[in-house]
Amino acid sequence: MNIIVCIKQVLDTEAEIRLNETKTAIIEDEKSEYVMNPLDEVAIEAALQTREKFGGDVTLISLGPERVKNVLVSGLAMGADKAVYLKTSGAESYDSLETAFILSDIIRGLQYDIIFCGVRSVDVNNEAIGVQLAELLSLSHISSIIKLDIEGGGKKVVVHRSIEGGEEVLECGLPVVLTCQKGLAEPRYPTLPNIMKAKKKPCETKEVMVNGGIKIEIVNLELPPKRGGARIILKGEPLQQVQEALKILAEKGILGDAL
Amino acid sequence: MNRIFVFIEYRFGKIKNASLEALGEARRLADKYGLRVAALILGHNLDGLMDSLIWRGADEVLLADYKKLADYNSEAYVKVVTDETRRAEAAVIFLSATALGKDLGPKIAARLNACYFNDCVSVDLEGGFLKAARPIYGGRVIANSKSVISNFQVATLRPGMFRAIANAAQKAEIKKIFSCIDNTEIKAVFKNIIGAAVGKIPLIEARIIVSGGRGMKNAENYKILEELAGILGGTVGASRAAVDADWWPQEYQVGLTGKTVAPQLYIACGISGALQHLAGMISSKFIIAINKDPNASIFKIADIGIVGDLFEIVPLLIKELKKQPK
Repeated sequence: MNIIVCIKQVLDTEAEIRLNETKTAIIEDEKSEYVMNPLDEVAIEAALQTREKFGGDVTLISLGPERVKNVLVSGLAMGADKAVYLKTSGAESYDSLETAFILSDIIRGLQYDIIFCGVRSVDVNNEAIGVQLAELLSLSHISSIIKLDIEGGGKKVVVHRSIEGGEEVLECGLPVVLTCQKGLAEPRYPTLPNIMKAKKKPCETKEVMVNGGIKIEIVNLELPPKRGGARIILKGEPLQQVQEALKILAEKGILGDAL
Repeated sequence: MNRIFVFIEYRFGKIKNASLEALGEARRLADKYGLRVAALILGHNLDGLMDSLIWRGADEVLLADYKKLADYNSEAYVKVVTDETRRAEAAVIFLSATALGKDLGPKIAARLNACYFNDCVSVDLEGGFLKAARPIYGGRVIANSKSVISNFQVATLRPGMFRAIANAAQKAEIKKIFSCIDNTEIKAVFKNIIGAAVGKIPLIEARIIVSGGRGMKNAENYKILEELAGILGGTVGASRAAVDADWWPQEYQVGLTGKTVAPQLYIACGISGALQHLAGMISSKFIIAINKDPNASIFKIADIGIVGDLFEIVPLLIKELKKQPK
């Protein structure tokens, strides 16, 4: 089975976020620390488990500036077979469709049975790449999967998808794009032998043109307003704390409004 | 363009409240800029729903009632919505950022070569160009972005951030949409729903959430949170640590790799307040935090902080609430 996983390098979520002077971009410099998008680790794990059952090949794809190769190497160290690095300028595109176009252009020329993506990247929160990639490739997609079984001798997927109030069970023939939610698979730690092998695995570089007009403009980036309102810390006897808290809720009409 | 389309999510016999919130916001913008609002509802056997939809702020309710639409599937749904969008020259489409909205929204945008704004906490439409505020980087930054094209613009609106209209001034006109979906093949086939716990309100629909973290110590202890949530008419959530420890289901995880919620009231029990958790609940209107550690980060963003043992506080809350007249 030919499996592709689209992955993204993101700024470490624990790290401090700095805005540039004009407040139109996030500062990325030598101090910045990057990690693989956590949900993409889940996607890679799902891909590896699929390969373990059905054989075949797992190819990783990522786009961005040179540093992005680090996540490709991490993914290869988890056990993927090869990587495709798409070299772009690295300016963050807030337009998911633009990124999906670039990916679809390249993927169209590859063999695939399943394309895995993380359901969203924790940086720009578009939650769209997988769905839009499928649309551009005229493929079926199922988003936000939390359980995956491949049945029919590798001909169809049966998935559980996370929705409000439950899980949806869906079936789909291959090829298909699946976007992965936390809980689908627990990403493995790279083993030492795999880390050693990773740098030797094939990683092809392709230059890509960022085509199409710009559709989305950043007006500015801002830090969210600090939560206003009373920051009341209640100490003292538990019963007092509870009664005081309920009193404040009543004064503010919080419970009344909600109930 | 003189129309805003609002996709109304109707599944398993219910219209999603979050869709009505998006509709209310569309009405607000329509009144501000002299536009019309059309609510699109897709499904099968929809007639009985109209009363709940015609007084919610739409000028028109566009109804697509076909057997192929009975269960949500992106293939037929995207065809109906995009065909109608082009026919009506509606440049702006709102959906609510539910699981369905975030599945259908980007597909609509890709098919229409539109710009797509996900999980908006505020929107505006000056000059016909969508301007949206979206939380990014785990909610630590708000991206104020705008569309530079007027056709087409798709946005999903975060549940809980906008107001539904309970009783609009004008009744909506009902129109049937005729769409050709005979040749649309549904490849991702819906089979069934599982795990829908009776009486459990989904996280993003809950107006009150009682959430437990590492301080809960085990799964058994969640019973007290369930009792508290029960009295308040809310639902129980959990931090990543608790979910990873299998104390509470993944589906109810609040945070960066879980769900983002914006309830009226969020009660955080034994949750320290890691950035990744805050990303999921910082939009809550009112936050109460209960934690033994006076230095817990959660106290920096809580409206009321109770420094104490949740195993004493929560039962007392239950007891005091039970005393109150209904």
